Order: sequence, then structure tokens, then C-alpha cells
Amino acid sequence: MSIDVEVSVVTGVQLRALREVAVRLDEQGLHAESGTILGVVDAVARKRAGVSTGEAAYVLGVTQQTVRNWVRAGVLAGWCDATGHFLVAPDALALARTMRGVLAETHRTEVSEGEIDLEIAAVRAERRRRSVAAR
Amino acid sequence: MLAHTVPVAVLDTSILVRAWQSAVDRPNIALILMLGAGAVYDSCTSPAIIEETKEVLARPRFGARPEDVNRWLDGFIRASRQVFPQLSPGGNPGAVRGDADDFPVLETAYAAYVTTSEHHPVIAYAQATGGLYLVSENTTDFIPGRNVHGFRFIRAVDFHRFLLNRTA
Repeated sequence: MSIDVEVSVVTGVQLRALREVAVRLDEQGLHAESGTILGVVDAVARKRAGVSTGEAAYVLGVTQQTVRNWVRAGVLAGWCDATGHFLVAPDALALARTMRGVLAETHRTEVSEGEIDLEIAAVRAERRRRSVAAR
Repeated sequence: MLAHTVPVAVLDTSILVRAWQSAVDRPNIALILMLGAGAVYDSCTSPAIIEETKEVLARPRFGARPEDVNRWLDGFIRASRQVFPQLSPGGNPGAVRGDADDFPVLETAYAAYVTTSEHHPVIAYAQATGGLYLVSENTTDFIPGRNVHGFRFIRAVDFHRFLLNRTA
């Protein structure tokens, strides 16, 4: 009985070298062999590029189970790798990371919900006054 | 043709300001909704909402530096589809207690409503499948569950629950 095991992650240089080997095999007419190697290279490249559910959950402020549910349902861009692990597409989290990053660096004054609504109301009242004055 | 319904949501100023106030290590629901924009639902916003948010956060009570607010909102803008309200629908849509002209979120919803499918096919598809939401904490002026221009008013906690339970 053969058992599939996950080997240690290869480097980007090694992946590029393998891809070049696949190209040379293809040029020599060994298309099946080339395709096999490219399939492995792509699978490894995708695993390197995917974000774990733990990290994605942290970035999005939800549980890991929610992330898995979303990926499974196609709600959140991601995939399931050969070992059954869910991975999230890095692009899907990039802007969330940006927003989080700014808040993490920024000091914010504590303001209650009631005060928030009063400040919004004040801005709208001021805008109405400006609008009336402009007529 | 989309494989499944993608909800489209407009986040009101009341949500964006609450998100700004959130702790980063324990994000509140408003921040969670902002973080999910473009990733788990389609976010629609407009210069009117963004400018109003900036105006609120520029008030002394918040002590926020404009450059920090701009950087933060830039991420949200890039995660969202922008519409540009040029026309005001006029009159009270029947789901708003106050003066409809006061609320950028209504202008945005109307602009999204009249957007052609050519420019924003996702919005058009969401219109057809009933997946349009106006998310606001302003229950004084907006009536949760009521519809305006095809968008349903919903509070942040309910939209958050809807997103968590999405299976398609």
C-alpha cells in the first residue's frame, strides 16, 4: 500500500528549475511527463501562496470554521489542498490587512455609541444649514 | 451569469464610524463587516458616504488625524464598487422616518439601483435575486426590514449573522 506524505516545502528557485525542466521535456515531445511535473509544480506553488484558515480568520475577525464554511461554499476565494487543508487566496485578504494595519498603528479616543450618533447628527445638521444658506 | 447569489451591501456612515472605533484585537461587528468588504460580499459605496464619514471623524470628539482616516478608508474604497449619486430620487421612499435628502446612504442606494447591468453586472444580478442590503445602526430614521430602491435596511448584527450563515 502506498502512502502519500507531504514533503518539506521546496524553494522558489527549485520550483523555477523544475518548470524549466518541464518546458524542455515538452519541447522534446514528452508531453505527459512535462504535464506531470507542471502539475506538481503548480500544486506546490499554490500551497505556498495560500493563507491558512487560522490566519484568514484572524484577518477577517471570524472563526476558522466560518472561513472553512465560506471557502467550501465559494463565498470566500480559496481551495482545499491535497491534504484536506483549506487555504484562502491572499488577494482576498489584502485590503482587510491594510485596514487592520492602519487601525493598529492609530490611537483612537474612546467614544460611546450614543456620542457617535450625536456627532453624525451634528454633521448632517450642519450640512443642512450650509445647504439652506447657499440657496 | 454568476454561479451563486452575491449579496451587495452599502455600509452607512454609522457603520464606518463604529468600525473606526473598534479594538483591533477584538474587532466589533462594524469592523468585521468592513474587513469582509469585497471578500465575502460585494460592497458598494460612494463619495457621499466616504466624505460624510471623514467629516464625522474630523470632529474634535474623535481626535482622529485626517491622514490616518484617509489611509484607512482608502482600503475600504478599493475593496468596494463605487457609484456616484447624481440624481436624488425625491420624496420619501416610505421606509425612512426623516428627510430622505439627509442620508448619503439613500443616494448611494438609488445610484446603485439605476446603475445599468453593463457597468455593474453584480449589482444588477443582486437586484434580480433580492440580495441588496443597506446596513445602518440608525434605527431612528430607517426602518429595519423595509425596502428602498430594492435595498433592504438591516442592522449590522443581522447582516453579520446573515454572512456567517452563508452557504452559497
